[in-house]
Amino acid sequence: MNYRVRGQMLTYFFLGILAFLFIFPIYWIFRSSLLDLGEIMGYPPILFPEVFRWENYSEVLNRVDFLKYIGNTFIIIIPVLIGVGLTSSLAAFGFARIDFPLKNFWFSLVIMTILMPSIVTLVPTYIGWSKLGLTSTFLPLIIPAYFGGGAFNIFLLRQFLLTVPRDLDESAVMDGAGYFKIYSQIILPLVKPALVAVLLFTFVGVWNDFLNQLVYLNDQDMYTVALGLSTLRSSLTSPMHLIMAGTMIMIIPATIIFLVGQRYFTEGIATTGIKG
Amino acid sequence: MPTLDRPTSYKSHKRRQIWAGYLFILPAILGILIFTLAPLLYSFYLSFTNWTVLAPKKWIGFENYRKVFMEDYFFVKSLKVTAYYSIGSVVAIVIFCFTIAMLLNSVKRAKAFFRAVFYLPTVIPMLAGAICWIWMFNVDFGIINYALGFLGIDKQYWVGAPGSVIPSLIIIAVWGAGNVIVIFMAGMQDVPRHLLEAVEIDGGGWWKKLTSVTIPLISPVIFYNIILAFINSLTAFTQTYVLGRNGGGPNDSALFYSFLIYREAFKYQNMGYACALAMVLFVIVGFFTYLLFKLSSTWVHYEGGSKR
Repeated sequence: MNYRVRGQMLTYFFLGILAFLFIFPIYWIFRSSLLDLGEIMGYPPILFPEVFRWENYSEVLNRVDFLKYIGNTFIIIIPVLIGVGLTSSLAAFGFARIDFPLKNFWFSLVIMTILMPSIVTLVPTYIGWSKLGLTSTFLPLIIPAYFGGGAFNIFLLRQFLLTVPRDLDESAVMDGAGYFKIYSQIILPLVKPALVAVLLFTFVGVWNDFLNQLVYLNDQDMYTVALGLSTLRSSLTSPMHLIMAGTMIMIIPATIIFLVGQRYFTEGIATTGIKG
Repeated sequence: MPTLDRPTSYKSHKRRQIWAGYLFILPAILGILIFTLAPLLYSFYLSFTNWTVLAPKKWIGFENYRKVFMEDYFFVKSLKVTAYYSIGSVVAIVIFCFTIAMLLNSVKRAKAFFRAVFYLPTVIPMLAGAICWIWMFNVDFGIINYALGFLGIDKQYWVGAPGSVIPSLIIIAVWGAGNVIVIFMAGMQDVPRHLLEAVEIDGGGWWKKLTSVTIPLISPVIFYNIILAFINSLTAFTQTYVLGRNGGGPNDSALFYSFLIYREAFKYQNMGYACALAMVLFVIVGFFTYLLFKLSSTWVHYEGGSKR
């Protein structure tokens, strides 16, 4: 018994240290965002700011139009959320609830696209959009969401649907209800927790995306938060403490979303890994 | 309902079902055709041309591929860098996250709290995370060298030197791999307690429990995480973009393959050449994924017999 208790204590000690190390970088950005340039370049490093220089934030907001970039990011995020929510749940319903020929073939095709690194298709896709004259618009970042909404999301929703008993919708079929009615009135309400997880992942995914935004958005008026931060970093006149304040601005929304929907995140992730 | 009607009504029901099924998955299928298969074919075609956006497109046969394999110093370099990073990050992520998941599943309290803490970096934008880590890795002002000083460890160059840049990036990758921990934890919860207890009764210790019960039972989860980490490692881009004004790290020691493709296509406008590079990557990834799946049958056990 004593041995057990000591084992638990040791485990907590170890986990505590690691948890500290995992959180530390986030604290470090926060700390650095509140110092002035002299303090941030000082050595030894200041572990805890004596004066909280919140004016760094207003200065960085003056220098870079972050509010506009946040707006631009939401111009992308909102239609993407609608597209992903709609088409990934439609596909998941089809795969989990309706029997039709070649279903397994199509489903494995969907799963195989997870194995395709996005960089392979980036260049031809970009050329395709530029032929349509749509580069330097938000559309290349939005429209793909309306075509299945990502293999990963379809997979997650389907896994979830497989755990929901089929009796409900089967009896509705017997009663002559159309499939769309079953989908919208029976399945969608049932699948809500998984759908929330999918939407949260999608939000964070768009918010965190960098490469696609870098490739498609060249006009400074259309910059997203990520691009704004990246330009701030590459301009020589932006000192480190302002970059850190900008970084903090980028981190906050994703962190809030995570803290609010924490349960959905971890449970959503957990369901995708089982019996792959 | 009259019995005579049955065959026809059953048939029309069946037909309705097929139509409905295809309608529901239609957007997803179109998505694969438009955003995966078509780009692949188009990329394959363009890889035989010298298209540079400005000049007209010309068919040049295997010239791009010849250049890739015979002349491009950066191709070999980035392939080595990417392989190093891929193997290193997959091994580090799987071992680290497996260990953390084991520890987390063994504690009684605050499990959800720790899980949230380890997951949090995953939602931090890679751009922000990379900026912060590179600042912490700073040779002169960085907190990491400062902290190591207390342990009597000399200053390290971290992302500042060709020899240590990839291991440093692997540390960042492990930091951002909290989702793998969560997946492992879920898998481990499905391991039946009585099997672990049976080992205990036989006098086996934790090592025996680990190797003869836990690992075999969650081998599908381990395999899934390996595949996931592998594909993720190939799309790593932001880290190396942040590393310097030209990207690629000191002496191109962090020139990831994805960055090479990006640079050829969007900095130098060599679209045809970038497509050839992408096709080579596609073949390499396909080969290694196939290999991983092939090898998996020797150590991955699915419940209820062999499922691939």
